[in-house]
Amino acid sequence: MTHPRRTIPALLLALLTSCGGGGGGGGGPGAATFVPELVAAALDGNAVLLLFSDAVEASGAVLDAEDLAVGGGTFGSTAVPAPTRIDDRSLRIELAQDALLVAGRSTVALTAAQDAIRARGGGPRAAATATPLVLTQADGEAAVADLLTLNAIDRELAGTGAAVGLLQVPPAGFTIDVGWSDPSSPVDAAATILLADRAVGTSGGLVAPGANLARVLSAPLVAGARARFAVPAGVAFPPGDLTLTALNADASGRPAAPATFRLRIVPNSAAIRPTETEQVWALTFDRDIERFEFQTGGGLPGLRIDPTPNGVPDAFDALAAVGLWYANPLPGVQGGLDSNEFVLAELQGRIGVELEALFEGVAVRFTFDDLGSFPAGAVAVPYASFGFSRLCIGGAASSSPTGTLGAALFDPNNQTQDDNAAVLQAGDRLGVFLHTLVAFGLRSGTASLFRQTFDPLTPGFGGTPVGAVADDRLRLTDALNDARTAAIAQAIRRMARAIAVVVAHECGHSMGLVANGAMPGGLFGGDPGNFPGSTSLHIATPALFPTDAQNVMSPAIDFDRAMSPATGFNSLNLAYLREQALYDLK
Amino acid sequence: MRALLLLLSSLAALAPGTPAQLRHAIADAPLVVIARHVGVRPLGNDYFLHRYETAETLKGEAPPTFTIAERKRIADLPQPKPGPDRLLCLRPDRGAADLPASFAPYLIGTGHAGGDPVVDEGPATASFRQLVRVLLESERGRGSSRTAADLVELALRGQGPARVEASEALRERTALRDAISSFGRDDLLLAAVGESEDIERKISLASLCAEAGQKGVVEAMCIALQSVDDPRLARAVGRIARHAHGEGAFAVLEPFLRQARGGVHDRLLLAVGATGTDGALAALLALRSRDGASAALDAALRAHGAPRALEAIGGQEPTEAGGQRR
Repeated sequence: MTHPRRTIPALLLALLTSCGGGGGGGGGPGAATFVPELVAAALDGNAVLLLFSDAVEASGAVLDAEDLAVGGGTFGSTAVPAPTRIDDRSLRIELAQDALLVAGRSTVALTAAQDAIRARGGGPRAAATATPLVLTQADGEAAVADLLTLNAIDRELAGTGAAVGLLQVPPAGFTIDVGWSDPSSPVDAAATILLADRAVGTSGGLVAPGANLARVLSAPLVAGARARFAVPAGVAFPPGDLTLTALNADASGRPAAPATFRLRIVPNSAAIRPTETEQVWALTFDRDIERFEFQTGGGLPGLRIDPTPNGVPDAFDALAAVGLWYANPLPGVQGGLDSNEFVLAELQGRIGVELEALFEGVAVRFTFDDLGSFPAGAVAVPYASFGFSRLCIGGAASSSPTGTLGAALFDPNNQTQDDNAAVLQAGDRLGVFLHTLVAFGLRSGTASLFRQTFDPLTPGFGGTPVGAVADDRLRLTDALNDARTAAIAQAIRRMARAIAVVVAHECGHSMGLVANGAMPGGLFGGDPGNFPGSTSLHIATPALFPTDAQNVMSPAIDFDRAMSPATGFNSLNLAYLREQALYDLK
Repeated sequence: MRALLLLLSSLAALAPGTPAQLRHAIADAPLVVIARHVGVRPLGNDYFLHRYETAETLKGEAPPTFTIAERKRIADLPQPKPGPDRLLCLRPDRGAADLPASFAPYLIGTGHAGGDPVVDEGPATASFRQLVRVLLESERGRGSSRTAADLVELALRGQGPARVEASEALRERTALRDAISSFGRDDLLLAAVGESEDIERKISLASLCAEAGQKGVVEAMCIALQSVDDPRLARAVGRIARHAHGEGAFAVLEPFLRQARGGVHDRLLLAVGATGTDGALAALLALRSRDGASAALDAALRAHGAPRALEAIGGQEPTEAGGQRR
């Protein structure tokens, strides 16, 4: 194993790519016009379906040969009736008895002179069709949207589940996710038309209601029948409530059933944003108020808490119980580090890697570097007034054993920098409590993952701590690879993962998770009615995770599930941390 | 006023496979009572004072009334839960020294998940009351054999969370585990095999059987993997095999793996990986070399966790078969 980094690299906000498509709203600032184009035409029994690029309406004028040019067939001898509306972008024309159109051969095109079809709301006439479109044969089944959400937020958390709510997002920087299913024909998700019922701003002017927003969004990421459209920085949705409508058609030309999604846009002021430019967390191990002693009183293994500081951080005392810290370490393992220091560096490096994964896309940085002390007498100071928050990875939650893995200040909207390395005046301790983590693990059965991972190193169970044998110097530096080398690496890796999950949970609280109540007032915390098992400031969402993984902000964490790479923040919590979803200012 | 919004939140530890930790709360708390929430009042900007009446004392010497101080600014754990009577596992609240003496004594929970169950007339309550009685009698010196027999009975025929708590209590205490009779072990294995709905219970019972020295657990659970599609069970089978057979774990799993197809084969691969043994690693690497990468093989190697296993799959951490977020 190689020497790890001490400082965890910065996690940067994923930058949205530049606006794709182009065109769209047309006109300069204040303009709200767009010109719909005919993009597909299909035969559906005794009718023709016309699909447009944007929302359209029939003007009321007669549709005749001056409007619609037909090739390879005829609309027949009688006048074509006015088109009828199927959805915002689709019209239906009933054919005369003697019409003769053949799918795959006949073509249609709007002429430059047409005056029968125009943009919705009395807008300009639909454009002439540059290249006549070959009629397809519409099949029997319409596609349906099986997904329409923002930021990949699960249905249950997006205001579309039993918990209701109204998803609130900033004017830009969020994604629109759509997915289509159709048993009879493929659907091109990238061809989704997105309409808003209110004008959306762009650097080139307003995009009017009814204009296809997809033009001004980033080119979609497509996977099968699903597409993700990103709202780039140059586009701004208007504050307030609005409805998005997603439209599409299957490959046969049959319009899909329209889907709608209600959302609320809130200006993303510094006060309501959780991370702003970047949240820095200084992690420390430096609390020393007790020491721990392995015991098997009553046959139940545990760590007795002795209220005597011993000059060793309490966290290391807990690690010593599972052999990751040793009273007489091997000196000079690498770069002047003894075996304890080397293991600690490895552990810190792995914690950093795990936190980086858990907070992917979040403007947060974790460091074990000493950034200094917190302002005297304060546990929370205005966010912009100080450079970082702190969290102690400590020993016990209390002077007597508890089941508490961590405790942190809850900071709605992350308006303050918080000192979770503090022991408060009343005696309440903040931070992550390795005593609980280790004591629980030691109590678990010998066939448990914890025991099988740490028993080879646990002195209380006959194991040999890291650094207790000379060859560990070789093992730590990869000069000797045997079963013990693997056991040591695995123990460090799993301990780091468990610590990282708890750190993520506690830092999550101090960044605003999980505000009680439905969106937009909260993030569905404290709602056991809709999310059974939830408690105040926590949310249990087992149905949204595999059975062997869990939501980081659950009320309780278990060691096995913490190991799963699928364990993480739920989709709404992650969107909040990424500033893609914001709850009301508290 | 900003500071008033700061609340202390907390996170309970949950042992693997155990939905509740009442047994630990009982062990760690000097006072165990059934109590009635009789009122709450604010105290300044910082506290809610929850008043309780003791209805029944199960451990320690309980005062007739007491207070749990809920911090508004620094809400401590566990949060009091107004409503029906609950079993509470309590300790002195050292952080309440400055609160009004007229509401003393101040107590606080131990923070164990499931450590404050509702007390009602249902069968689950009857079971956890039985669990509490058995554990407290054990604390007072009752013999291991009788305690073990009671816990086995509870693990087999109890209701609600107390079943798994009883099973885990046996797993955690060597003396109790060793005191399980051979009939008890047989019954526990039968229950493990027969459990089809509560996977946590199935795993707990199977693990207990293996840890108690029962023969045939691995074989029985390999057969169970044919009908139970849950990665938790597959991993548990691997760990049980390692516990029971050490480095020989793969040899026990291998015949089942050879005969299995499709999803059952994938689950057995995961079990092989979860043994964490050298033999399993060699077999998985050989399979990957012969058949190429697959999601199931990579999941098995990830479950193995040795550096060589992770290197083989490119050191990648996330996403596995069954590990993709839903």
